[in-house]
Amino acid sequence: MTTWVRIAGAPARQFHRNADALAHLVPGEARHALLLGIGVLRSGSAGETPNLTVTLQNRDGQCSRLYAALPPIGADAQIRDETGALFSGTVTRVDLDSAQCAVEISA
Amino acid sequence: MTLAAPIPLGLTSSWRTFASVAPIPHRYGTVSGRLLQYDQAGLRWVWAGHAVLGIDSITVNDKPANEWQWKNTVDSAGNPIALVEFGQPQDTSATILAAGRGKLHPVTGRLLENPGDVIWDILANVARAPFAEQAFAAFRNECDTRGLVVAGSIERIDTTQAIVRALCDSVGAIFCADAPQPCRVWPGGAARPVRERLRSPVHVLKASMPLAGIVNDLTIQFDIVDGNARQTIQLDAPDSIARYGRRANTLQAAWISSPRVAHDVAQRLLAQSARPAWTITASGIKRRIDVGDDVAIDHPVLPLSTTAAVLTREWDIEQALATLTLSVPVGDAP
Repeated sequence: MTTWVRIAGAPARQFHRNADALAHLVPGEARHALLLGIGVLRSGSAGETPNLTVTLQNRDGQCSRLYAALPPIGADAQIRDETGALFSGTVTRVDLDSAQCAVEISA
Repeated sequence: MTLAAPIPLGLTSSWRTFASVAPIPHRYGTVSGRLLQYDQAGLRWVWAGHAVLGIDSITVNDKPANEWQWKNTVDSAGNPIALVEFGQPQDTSATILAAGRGKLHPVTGRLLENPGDVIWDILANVARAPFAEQAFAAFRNECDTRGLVVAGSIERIDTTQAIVRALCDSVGAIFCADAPQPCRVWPGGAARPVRERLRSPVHVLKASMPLAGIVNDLTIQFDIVDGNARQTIQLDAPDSIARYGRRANTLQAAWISSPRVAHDVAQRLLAQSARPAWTITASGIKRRIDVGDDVAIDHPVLPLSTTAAVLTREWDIEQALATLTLSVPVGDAP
C-alpha cells in the first residue's frame, strides 16, 4: 500500500515518500518526495474535530520555499492511496522548523 | 509599587460620610461616568479623584439635570476631587452620569487624552512606578500623527498592568514595562530601526500558522459608559471571508469613544488578522532585544526577507541569550 498527501492550491502539490508512489499520483500536478510520515488520526467525543498531522522533510528548506509566502492554510487536503482518499480535510495548522514541516489536517 | 499590584486609587471610605466603599475614579479624555454621593443630603457628588478640565453635562436616570455646578476642590481627606453641587437633593438611588473632560497634565495643565500621556500618568502618577515621561515621547508623537486619543476611566481596583494592557488593546498598541520605549502602536504602526537580523545558522527559527488565528470580521464595542457600550463598529474583509470563511471576533474597547479612532484601530487589526500570519519563535540571539524592537528575518526556515516587531522576549540572564516571538502576516492586506 502506497500513501501520499495531496494539498490543493495553485498549484496543487502531492507529497510522497519514494518512487513507488509515482505511478499513482495525479498527473500534471506538482510532486515532491518529501513525505516523512502520516500521523495517527485523532478523533474524540469532546468536540475535537478528527485530525491528523503530516510530516514533511524540510532539512534543506524545501517546504519553507514552497510555503513561506503562500501557506496552504485553509486549503483542502487528502491522504490518498491507490484506492482513493483515505482522509479528507482542511489544513488547519502549519509548523516549520529547520528539519521538518508539520501540516495539520482537520476533517 | 509593582505593576502586578492593585492600582492605589483613593476610596470613598476616606471621606467623613460615604454611601458605600468604592474607588474614587480617575477619568481621562472626553468621557462620561457615574457620580459618587459625597453627602447624606444628595446635594454634593464626586466625579473624579483629581482636578478635571470641565464637566459639561449631567443626566439623572437618562434625563438632563438642571441646577448644578462643578468645581475642582479637595475632599475631607485633603485629596483633589472634581465636585458637583446640585441645587436640589438628588435621589441617591438614581443613576447620575456626568460627561466631561478629565484629568490634566500635572505640569502643562493640558487635557490628558493622548495614549502616551495617559499611560505615563497611570504608571508614574497613579501607580507611582518609576517611568520617565520621555520614554513615551515616540509613542505619543505617533498617536498624535494618527489622531489616536483615549477616553476612559479607572473605576475599579485592578492591577496597573491590566489597566495599561486594556488601554493598549483599545487603541491597537503593545506595552512592555521593561522596554526602554514601553509602548508601540501595533499592529500597523511606524517601523523602528532594525536591532537584529535573524539568519542561519546563528539563529534557530520555528514558525507556526494556525488557521484559528485568522479574524476577518471584527466588531469593536466602544464608548462604554457605566458598563454599557453606546457605539459599535463592524468591519470585515470580503476576500478573506471568501477564502477562509467568516471568522468573527469582538473587541470591547473600554478606552475609546471616537468612531474615527475605532475605525483606525479596526482597520489596523484587520490588516494583521484577516491574513494568515506566521508566529515565529527565534532563539540563540546573543544580545538583549526588547519587546517592541524591530528585527529583520532572512532565514531558510522562513525565506521572506521582511521585518517584524518583537512581541515577546525571554532573556536568559546567565547565558545572555534571547528568545523572541514575532508575528508576520503573508499575502495582501485587506
